[in-house]
Amino acid sequence: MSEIKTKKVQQIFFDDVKEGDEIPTLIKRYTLQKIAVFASVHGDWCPGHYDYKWAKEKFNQPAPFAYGLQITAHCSQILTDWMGPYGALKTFKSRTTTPVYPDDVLTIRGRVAKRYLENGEGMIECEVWAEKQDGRISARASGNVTLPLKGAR
Amino acid sequence: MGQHETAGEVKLMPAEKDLFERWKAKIGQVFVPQTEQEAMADDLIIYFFGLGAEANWTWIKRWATVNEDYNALWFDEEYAKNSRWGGIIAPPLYLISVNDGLQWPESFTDELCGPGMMARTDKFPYYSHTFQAESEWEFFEPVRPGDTISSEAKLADIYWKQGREYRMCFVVGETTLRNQKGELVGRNKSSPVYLFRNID
Repeated sequence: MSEIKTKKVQQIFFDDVKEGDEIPTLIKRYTLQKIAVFASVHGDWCPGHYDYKWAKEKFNQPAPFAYGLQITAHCSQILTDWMGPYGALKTFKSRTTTPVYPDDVLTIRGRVAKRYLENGEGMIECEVWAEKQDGRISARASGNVTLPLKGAR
Repeated sequence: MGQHETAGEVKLMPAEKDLFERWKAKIGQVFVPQTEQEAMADDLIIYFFGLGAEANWTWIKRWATVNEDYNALWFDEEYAKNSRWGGIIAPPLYLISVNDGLQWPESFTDELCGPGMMARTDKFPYYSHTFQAESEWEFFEPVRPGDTISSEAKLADIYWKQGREYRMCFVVGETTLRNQKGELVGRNKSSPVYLFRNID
C-alpha cells in the first residue's frame, strides 16, 4: 500500500476570524462503491445502499442511496480540516434534506456565523451546507468549533 | 383496509397503532447495545451496529480512509503529538461507527437492519421506508486508539406527523457514549423517521 498523503493545515486563530468568513470548500464525489463501503464499515448491510432493484422496490428510490450519516460525516470534515491541530469540534448538528446517489457530487460550504469568548476560549459558530451538482441542498448543518487565541499557547 | 385509528391527526392501522402504543410506553427507558442475535430474541428491540466500539488505530484509519478524510490528526503520530490532543485521535464523527443513535428495528424495518431479519410487509402493508432526519452531536473527550467505547440510548420521544405523501413516525433517541475510563466522550440526539403511505 502506498503511503497516504495526509492533510496538515496551518493553525487558524480566533483573533483572525471574522463573522461572515467563508470556510474552505470541500468536494465529495459519490460512487456506488463509496456509498456501499461506508455503509458496510458502519455496519449497515441494507441492500438499499448497493442494490438498484432493492432501492427501487423496497425504498421507492431511483438508485442506491448514501446513508444519511455519511453526508453528516462529510459535512463535519469541512470544520475538522479548518480548525487545525489546536482547534476542536465541540458540537455538530446535521439535517439531511435530499438523498444522495451514485455519481452525485456534493460541494460542502461553510461560513462563520458568530464568534465569541466563552470561559476564556474562542468559540466559533459555523453554518455548513452541502450543495448537489444541480444546486439543490442535500444537508444543512451547524457546528461549534473552538480555536486558540494568539499568544495563549 | 377500511378500519383505522388515530394518533393526533394521523390515521393509523390497528397494527401500526399497536406498535406505536407499545413504543410510547417505553419513553424514558434506557437501552444498551445488543448483538443481532440478542436483539432477535426480543419483540421490542433496540439494535446498534457498533462496529467501531473497539477503537483500534487500524479501524480509525479505515473509517477516515473510507471518508477520504486524510487529516494528519488521525494518521500522523508526530503531527498529532504537537497538537492540543498530544497524540492521534479519531475524527469526532467516528462515533457514528460506535453508535449512530437509537434505531427502531421492529420487524417491519428489517430491510434497514441487515441480514437475518424477515420482512413483515403482510403486517405493515403501508410501510414505505426510513431515513435519518436529524442528528445532533456533542463531543467531550476524544476517542484515542486503543479506547473501548460503550454506549446507551434513551428513547426520548415518539410521535406522528402527517406529511403530504406519507404519515411520518419520528423516534427520538438520546445516546451517551463513554470510554473505558468512564469519561464522557459524546452525546447524540437523533430521530429516524419511518414513512408510511397514506391510508386513503
